[in-house]
Amino acid sequence: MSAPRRPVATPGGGLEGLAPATRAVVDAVLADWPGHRGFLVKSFRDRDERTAAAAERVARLVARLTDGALAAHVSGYRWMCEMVLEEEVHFLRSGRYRHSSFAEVAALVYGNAEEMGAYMRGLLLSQVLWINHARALEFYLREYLASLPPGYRHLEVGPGHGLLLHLAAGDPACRAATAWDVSEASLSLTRDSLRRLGGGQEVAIERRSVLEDLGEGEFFDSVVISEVCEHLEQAPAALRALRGVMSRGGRIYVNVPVNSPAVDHIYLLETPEAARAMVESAGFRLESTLVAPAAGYTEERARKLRTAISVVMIARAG
Amino acid sequence: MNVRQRLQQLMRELFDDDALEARDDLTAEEVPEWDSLAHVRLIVAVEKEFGVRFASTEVGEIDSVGALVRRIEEKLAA
Repeated sequence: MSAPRRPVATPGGGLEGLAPATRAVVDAVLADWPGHRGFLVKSFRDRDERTAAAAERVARLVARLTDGALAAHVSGYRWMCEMVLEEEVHFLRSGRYRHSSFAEVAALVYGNAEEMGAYMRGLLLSQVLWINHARALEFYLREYLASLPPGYRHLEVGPGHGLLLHLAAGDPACRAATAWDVSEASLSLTRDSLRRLGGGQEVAIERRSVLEDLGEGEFFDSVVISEVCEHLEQAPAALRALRGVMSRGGRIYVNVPVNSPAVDHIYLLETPEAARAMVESAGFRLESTLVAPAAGYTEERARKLRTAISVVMIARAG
Repeated sequence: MNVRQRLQQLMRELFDDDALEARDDLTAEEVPEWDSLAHVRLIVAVEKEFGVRFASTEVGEIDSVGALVRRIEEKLAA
C-alpha cells in the first residue's frame, strides 16, 4: 500500500540539524523512498537532546552492523512500514490484530526466511528512525542500565538485532550476560550482530522458551524483555516465569507496544494502564514508566485515536 | 451535511486542524499531519462514516480531497 506522494527534500525540509550517523540513515531512506519524508519529519521534530544523542549512538552501531549494506536495510525498513500500514487498516476496521495464535504466525512469518530477514533489517533502522523506539532506547540507557548494581547478572529474552544486549554486555557493571530465544534463526542473527559489533563480554546464548519449566532460583539481577510480549499468546505467564528466575529486588525492563498492529503481533493491549497492570500482576513493583507514542502523536491524541504507543516499564521483583 | 462537509469534519478531527478546508485540490503535501499512517486512518474513518469499503489498491491512488470525494460519491451511488 502506498501513501500519497510527497515532495522530495526542500533545503532543510524539516530534517535539519541531525547528527552524522543519524543523517546517513535518514538520507539512505529518503533516497529510496522520498514519500516517507512526512513521517520522518514528525518522528524527528520533537526529540529532545538526550533522545537525539541516544539515537546517534545507536545509529553508529547500525553503521557497524550494516557495514556497507545499508540499501538492503532500507528495503527491509520500507517492507516493514508497508506491512504495518496493511495491518493498521485491518486493525482499524476490526479492532483486533489479524492473528492470535503463535503457531499461525510462526508458519506465516517466522518460517519465511526472506520476510524475516527484511523484517529484522527494518526493525534495526526503526531504532533510529521511529520516535517511540528512540525514546525507549534512551530510557534503557539512562534509567535502566545506569541504575543497575555492580556485578549484575543479566538476561535478555528475544534479543533479535542484539542492540540492547550489546549495550548491557559492554557495561562494566555487568558480570554475566545471557540471551534466550525460541528461534534458532533469531539467535543466529543475535550472534552475528554481537560478532559484528564486537567488544563487551562473552554472552551465553541459549535456545529456550520462557514458557517451559525454568525452575526457581535467583539467577538474574536484570532481565530485559523488549518488544516480545506482543508476540506471545501468554504474555502474563511469561512475565510470571521470569519473576521466578530473578533475584529478590532484581529489576526488569519491559517494553511492550499497545494498539500496534503488525503481522506477527498476537497479544493486544489497548492502554498503557493495561500494560502496567500486566507487569504488576506478574509480581513486580513498578518503579518508572515511559509512555512513548509512535509517529509523532502526543499521548493525548494517541490515546484518542488509538495509535501505537510504546509502554516502557522498569519494575522490581518483590 | 453533504459528503464534503462530513469529510471535512473527519479531516479536522483526524489532523487536529479546525481551520482545514476540504477543497478539491487539497493534498497531503499541504497538511503536515497527513502522512502515510494518517492516510490509512483517514480512509478507514471514511469507510465507517459513509458505510463504504475501499480496496487496498484504491487507498494508494487517492491523492487529493477531490479524488476522495469522487470515490465516496461513486460508492454511495453504486
